[in-house]
Amino acid sequence: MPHALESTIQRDYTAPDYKYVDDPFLIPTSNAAKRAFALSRESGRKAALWIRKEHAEWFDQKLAEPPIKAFTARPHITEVSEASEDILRNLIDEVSVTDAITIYEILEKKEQEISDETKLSFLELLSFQNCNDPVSEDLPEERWFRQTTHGKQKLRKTWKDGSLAEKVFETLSSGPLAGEAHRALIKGMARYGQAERAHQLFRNMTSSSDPKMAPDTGCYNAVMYLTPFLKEGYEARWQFMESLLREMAGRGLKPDLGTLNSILEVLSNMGSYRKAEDLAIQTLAEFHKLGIEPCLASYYYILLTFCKERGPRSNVLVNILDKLNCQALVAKDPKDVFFFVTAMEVCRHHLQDVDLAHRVHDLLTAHNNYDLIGDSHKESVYYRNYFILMCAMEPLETFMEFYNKLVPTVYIPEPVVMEEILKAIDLNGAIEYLPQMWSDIIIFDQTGRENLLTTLLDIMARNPVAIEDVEKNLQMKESYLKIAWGIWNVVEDEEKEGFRSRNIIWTGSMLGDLMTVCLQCGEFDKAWKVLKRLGADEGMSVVAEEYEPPPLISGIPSIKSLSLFMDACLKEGSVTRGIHPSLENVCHLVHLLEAQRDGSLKESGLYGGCGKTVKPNSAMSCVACVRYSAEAGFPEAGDLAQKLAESLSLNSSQMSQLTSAVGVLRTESPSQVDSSRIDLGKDSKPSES
Amino acid sequence: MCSVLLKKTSMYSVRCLRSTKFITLEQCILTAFGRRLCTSNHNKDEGDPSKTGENLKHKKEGDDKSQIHDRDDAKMKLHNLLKEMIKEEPLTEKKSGLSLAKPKKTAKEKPVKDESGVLIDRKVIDATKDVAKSLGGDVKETESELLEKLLSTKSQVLGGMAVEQIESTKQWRDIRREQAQFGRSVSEVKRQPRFSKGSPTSVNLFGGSPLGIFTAEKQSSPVHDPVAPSIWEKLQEREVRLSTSHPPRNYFQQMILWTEQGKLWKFPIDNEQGLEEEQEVFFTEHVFLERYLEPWCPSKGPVRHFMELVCVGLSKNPYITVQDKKDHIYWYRDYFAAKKDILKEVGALPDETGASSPTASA
Repeated sequence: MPHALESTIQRDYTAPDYKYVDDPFLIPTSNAAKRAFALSRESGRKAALWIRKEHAEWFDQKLAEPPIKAFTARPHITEVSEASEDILRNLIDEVSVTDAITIYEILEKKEQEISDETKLSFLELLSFQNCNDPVSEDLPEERWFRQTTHGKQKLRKTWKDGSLAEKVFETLSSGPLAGEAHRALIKGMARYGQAERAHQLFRNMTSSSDPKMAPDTGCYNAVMYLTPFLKEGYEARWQFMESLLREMAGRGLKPDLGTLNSILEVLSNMGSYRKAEDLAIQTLAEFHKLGIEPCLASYYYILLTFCKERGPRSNVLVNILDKLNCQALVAKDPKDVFFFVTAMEVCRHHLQDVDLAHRVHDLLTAHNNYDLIGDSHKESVYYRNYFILMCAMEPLETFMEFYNKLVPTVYIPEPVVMEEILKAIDLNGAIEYLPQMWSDIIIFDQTGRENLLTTLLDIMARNPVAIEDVEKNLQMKESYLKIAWGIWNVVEDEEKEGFRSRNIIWTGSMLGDLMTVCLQCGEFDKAWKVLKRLGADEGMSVVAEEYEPPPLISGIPSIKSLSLFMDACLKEGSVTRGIHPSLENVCHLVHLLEAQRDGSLKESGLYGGCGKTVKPNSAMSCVACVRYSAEAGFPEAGDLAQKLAESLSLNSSQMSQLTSAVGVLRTESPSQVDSSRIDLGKDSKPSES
Repeated sequence: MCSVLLKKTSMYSVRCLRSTKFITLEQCILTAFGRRLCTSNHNKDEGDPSKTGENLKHKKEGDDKSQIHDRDDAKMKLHNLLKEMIKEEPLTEKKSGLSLAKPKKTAKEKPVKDESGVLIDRKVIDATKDVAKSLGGDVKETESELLEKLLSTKSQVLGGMAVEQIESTKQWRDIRREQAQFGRSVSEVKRQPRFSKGSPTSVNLFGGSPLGIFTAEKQSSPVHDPVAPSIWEKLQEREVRLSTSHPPRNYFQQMILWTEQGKLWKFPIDNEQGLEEEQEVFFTEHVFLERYLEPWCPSKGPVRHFMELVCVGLSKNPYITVQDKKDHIYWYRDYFAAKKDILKEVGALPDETGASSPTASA
């Protein structure tokens, strides 16, 4: 229904959802917070409803003339309430099942006569609802956030056998409305998976000669919907449905949209049945001929039929979109809401076609079609697939534009999506997005995800900051450091909170990456802290400060980060702070070893004479680093030790520690290091055994 | 118990050793490939000697390794690495028999996610070895072969290389599509269509031959076609409506919802909404009330005066019904009747016999 004023308002992507804007301070920024906020609001409404129901006597003032029905307390119905057929009929119209059942039982007890028409309506209500109360219309948030798997999961029997519905049916089955009562019960049983008895009742109807007992289209739809329960084997199922259709035609019944959807649903569940696709197309053609146009639910079943996980790829979605052509869609079937989420899944998994995904999204955002997204769960699955697909297919700039548009007002990416985005950033080397991502991870309350932290550290360690603009370079390094240290704080805080609540545990590679980032940003002290965290200073008598031994770390960092630490350490110990630019380019082993050789030459050449000026702290750190490398089983530890011995003058205890760690050290001139490299590797073996 | 633990940890160290090495190798190959991409992209630059010179200058400054577009450099490195690989391979295997030194702190058995995630398939390693042996021929071709092999196993490794921003969107998409198709996690690979080769088939939705069960002409509606929608149909409608009605997204939608729930005035605005029974009553009924004073009220005097004021007041009151107004007037009638004696005494009511007292008119 068009609304003149409402139609002038477009969705504002910069503002939070309408339900969150009451208090700017409280606007939620994570998926969990959004859910909690909306449901809390609604539970306030529920509490008010409860008070009004429990204490109806407090609300007897007439504040409005004429009275507003929506605001007046509904009568509280108990076993002693006044009952009449009119009250029952009203309650049926209001779909309040429990109250209607109470009134019906009072009337039964009083042996008051109820007309057959009212009884039939009551039976229809009970069959449709399976004697349960529906979700209230007044609670839209509850409907929006409810985890509805209903519909997607396989139909199972939930029908309440021997319930009031069947008793009411008994009273009607011999009367003049027997036909209608049969139909209502069959449809109800089909809806809740009671296949056997529904089919039996249906057979009673078809074998009856009484024209009033003839089944109608709805009955046939219901039984067709139950086919998978009744027949084994795909061929038998189709034959069963075909015979039902011929029966319908023989009775002169007119099929409707429900018939089409029942057939297509059964066909969509036929796994690897080869004819299913052809049959679906034939069915569509048949109904098209009859002037019955498929709805979104029909297309949903078509997608399920054609786009199987294992099966040839099909472009059927393109054909469907051509047919829908951005028109205003109207819901005709409760399962219409499955179309968009499934279409996006097909785009991502089946076709990997981002252009098609854009077309689906255009259709969704056109007119009022967004109403057909379903609920919050379907919406987030839809966007998850869309985001991951775009992230994989589109250039990063385009994707980030889209990201900035929809996040966080419309959609907040789940951790799995965030990881994909981080990987794309890594692949592009687009480190400029990392600060934004980190702040988003904090805002979305995803810092507890180990995989995100690990990926972030990994990316930062492998993509050192190298921007030509000096100022920007500095800025970037600063934010790198902020991210790295933010991660450090997150994990350390978790550890402090105790073992139970921890879900992130340091790994060697995480700490190694962290150390690399600190060193690349020139923060030697922090890097030393990280190395200590790795347990490198264990058993070192030089350690002045006394602290509790931290929990064990599993895994070891790469030798690259360790040797980077060595180099930085040597430089730290000499004159300058910070790292030599040539060391930044060390990216793999070959480079590293070359650089080490060059570096040690340079070190000894430049600072050889100033060995005594080196702070003891620095030498100690170096020794700790070498010891750790040796313990971790890196054959390169020998190189590091060699280098250390050449660059710095160590005292005797440090020397002995070094020797015990890596074995015999050579004291030749640095130029011989290269030729003795492999020997050194062997030298380090005894210590490993 | 202890020795088992020790053995396990040492095995683990070997694994770490291997994986670090192979990752380095792969990364090197892939970095080289990334550069090849860049160079093919920057062919123009290569042709231009001045630009190449500029590149070299950048290199000297050690500014950024990704700016090195030197193809030969990449080739040389790959060559060296693969050679080294052949040399070192037996060494690693021999080593695996030894129990190696291990970090004391890793006594914990917990496998590390990172390392296990990047363990490289044995097949890939064999393949790279074979290729390395046959090196010396067309290095470029070898490179691309290597890449293809690697692509088909892990895209995560690809994540390790810093590919320079590729300008052409199309080229970019092709690469990403290839990755998206090949480089999924194992669980997702299972979901891959088995016959994913070949272009997807198109479907003509309404072009099939009909089943031929129903005929379009024969649309005589059945006997049971209820005129009024049954409860079942109403419930079905309700279900569809609820499945597509969501929390309001702006204030207008909120007001629309409230209007539908009957909490707000309906448009068009009418201040007699909900007063349907009053629609039947003509306005004169409300306004002209003097007739209800007849015949009980005296024709003049203070009581008459008072009652006329009451009538004026009531005629201007829109909030009560005509019946309420009548009841109001009749209440006064009864009241005055009850107080008849007193009223007569003070002369407020004229005597039926004589003239009114002079004080009454004051």
